[in-house]
Amino acid sequence: MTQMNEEKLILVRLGEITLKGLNRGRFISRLIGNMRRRLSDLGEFEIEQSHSRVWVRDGEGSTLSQPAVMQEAMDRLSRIFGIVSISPALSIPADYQILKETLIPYVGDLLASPGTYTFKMEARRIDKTFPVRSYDLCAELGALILETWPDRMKVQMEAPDFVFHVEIRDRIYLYHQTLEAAKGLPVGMSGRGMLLLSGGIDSPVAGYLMASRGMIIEAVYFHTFPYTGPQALTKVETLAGLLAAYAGRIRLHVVDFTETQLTLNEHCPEDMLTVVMRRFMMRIASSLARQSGAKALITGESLGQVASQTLEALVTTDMVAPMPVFRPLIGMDKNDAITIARRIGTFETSILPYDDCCTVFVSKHPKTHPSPEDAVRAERDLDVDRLVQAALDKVTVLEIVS
Amino acid sequence: MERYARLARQGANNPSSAHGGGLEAARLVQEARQSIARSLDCLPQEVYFTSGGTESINLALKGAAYAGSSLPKRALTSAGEHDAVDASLSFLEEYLDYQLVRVALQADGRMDLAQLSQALEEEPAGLVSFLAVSNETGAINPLEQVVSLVREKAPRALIHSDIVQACGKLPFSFRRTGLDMVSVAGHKIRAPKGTGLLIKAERVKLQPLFHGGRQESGLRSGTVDMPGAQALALALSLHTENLQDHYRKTLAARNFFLDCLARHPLVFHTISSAESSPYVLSIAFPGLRGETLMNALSAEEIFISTGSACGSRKAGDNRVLSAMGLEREIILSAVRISFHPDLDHDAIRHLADRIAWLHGRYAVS
Repeated sequence: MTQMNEEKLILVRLGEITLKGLNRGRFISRLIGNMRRRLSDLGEFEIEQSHSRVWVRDGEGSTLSQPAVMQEAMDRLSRIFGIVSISPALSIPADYQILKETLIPYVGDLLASPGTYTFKMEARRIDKTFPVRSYDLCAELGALILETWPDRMKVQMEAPDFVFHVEIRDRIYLYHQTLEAAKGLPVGMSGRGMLLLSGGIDSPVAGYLMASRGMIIEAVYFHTFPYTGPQALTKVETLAGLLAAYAGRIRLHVVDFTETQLTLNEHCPEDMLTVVMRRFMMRIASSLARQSGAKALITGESLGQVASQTLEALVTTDMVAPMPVFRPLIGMDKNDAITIARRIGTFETSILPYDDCCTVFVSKHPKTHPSPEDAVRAERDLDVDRLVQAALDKVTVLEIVS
Repeated sequence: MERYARLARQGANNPSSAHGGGLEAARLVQEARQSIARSLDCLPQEVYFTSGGTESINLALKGAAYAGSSLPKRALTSAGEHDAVDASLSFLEEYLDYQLVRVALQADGRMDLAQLSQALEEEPAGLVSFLAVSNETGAINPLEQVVSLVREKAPRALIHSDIVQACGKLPFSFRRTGLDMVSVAGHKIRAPKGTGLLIKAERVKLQPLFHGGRQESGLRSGTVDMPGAQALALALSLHTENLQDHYRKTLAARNFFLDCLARHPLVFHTISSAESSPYVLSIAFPGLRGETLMNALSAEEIFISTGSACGSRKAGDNRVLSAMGLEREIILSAVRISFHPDLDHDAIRHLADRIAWLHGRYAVS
């Protein structure tokens, strides 16, 4: 496509620090693979890396020149971990005259609504054979803009309305917008984790945070039909879909938990019901994790948030998990979790009321500081292995994509 | 529905147009208006076509408030109204400085007339709105008695009634009740969704909510949905013709259901009183949440509703049942079952059996 005079494309910046060292190749190829997958249904793009940047160009049948396609591609890329920021850019042949002829309509488009604006020029000359030096480029192009709009454009070095970037490489790249992206490590760099996903605010945030460290996310949801209705399951599927916009495809294991819950309700002391229920969820999730190759569990628990999240309760539940339990929200204030939930778009779904209705099995006066002995005693009348196996026999797996 | 589909297929002529097709459409709308007037015992010019119960109620209450600048800014309603009435009056409270009084319900779900009488005496009222039959419990308010009470104590007040649950199911005469306005929803009598009626006495002046082509005597601008009007008229006349027969069969169905339930060793609490409309039964099965029962039956293709609609509110939060003074445990376990004349005994017995079985399986103490 380089023979084209003008081309719309996307400039993708990567995390510089993580690029150092021996992991670099693995990092980049994983990231490019993730980008390719996430953009696949928008068309075929050429994704190539040069130095610490990746360029996304039109390939066969994709059209970044269409604003809707550009916007969707930008939106998807901004949610891919490993990308620091992105810019929609215009590339033109490496010719100074063409650059000047392109810059004026490029700036003109941005001045459609009335008013005066401030700007500055930033130029980088990577191709040193280009006849004009960076400093002169800035001065001359800036002067050109001022001449064209003497009443509307003013130069300002500190926080101007626009920064026009000009990069001279094999071609010239022009851009002025930089969108922050998800940062972190590409998903797939850090193994696989099994997320205990409820319909609440915290667990999707926990999944997001672990995915941002490069973890592939699988999820397990404990469904207690008919105490919770089909809307509760739909809600969890929606949350998994929103999370998948960041984490990529998510396998959601839906456990039919009703029988287990009824058995626990019948045979456990009321004040230990929640802790014992959490222990069964941990056991079932661990088995599912082992089956799918996940090496850790992930929960949205935060210390002291509810009775089942006291230190003692967490210790008691962790005792039945034969693998590490990651709790990225453990020291986080609820409001900070809500801020993340809002930013990643899960909050509005999380606060739908469907799971509030299932408060049937919540202890009215739960033991807030249960000891491991309390838990063992509470499970005395239960055939734990058989109950876990019975639940594992009733699992449905859903493939969730964003 | 068949008539609707046929007329909708026939063409897109605008009943307000002067050409041949338009005139024919206008004639069909007029015919529907006359038929509806016969069914509800009102005058054809008192019939206004709308998009449903909600629009009719909004038009009646807001339209009256905006038109009647000399009306006392005080509205009386019951604590058992549908959201459309409650929210419209709350709007008047917020934006037009109306004082809103919600008259308490009795234990049987009907409006407390002694309280209404007291509220009428305290200060002059400009608007009174109460429903004919409760959508939650089927409780029937005595329309004529309420109207004469209001006329006696607040002669200037405009009286509106939401008769959505009564229309086509219980005997109704607009003329005899002496109401100023009533609202009807088409889909409740098996007319298409998106059809509704406002019946308004000629003496009552309303300010329209929609402005435009001045259709419906300027009260409701927007092209009249001719096939919808025809279908609604037909549905209403069929309901009215068979009203006694339907009522008898529905009452028998409800009573048979309660008999079937009574044969099971099952504790239940009928919230609806024996005198309420047989078309709606509010009943609670303590120990089993209404939502749990609804979910379980829904999986068996049996559709009932909860007393506490989970989608919109928190469990146990039901404005109407709370106003009846019911305990939280009863409200949580309340469901609403709709009865209709075509239910056969097997289906009813099956429902009772399933509820008893599901209660045994899923009730928790």
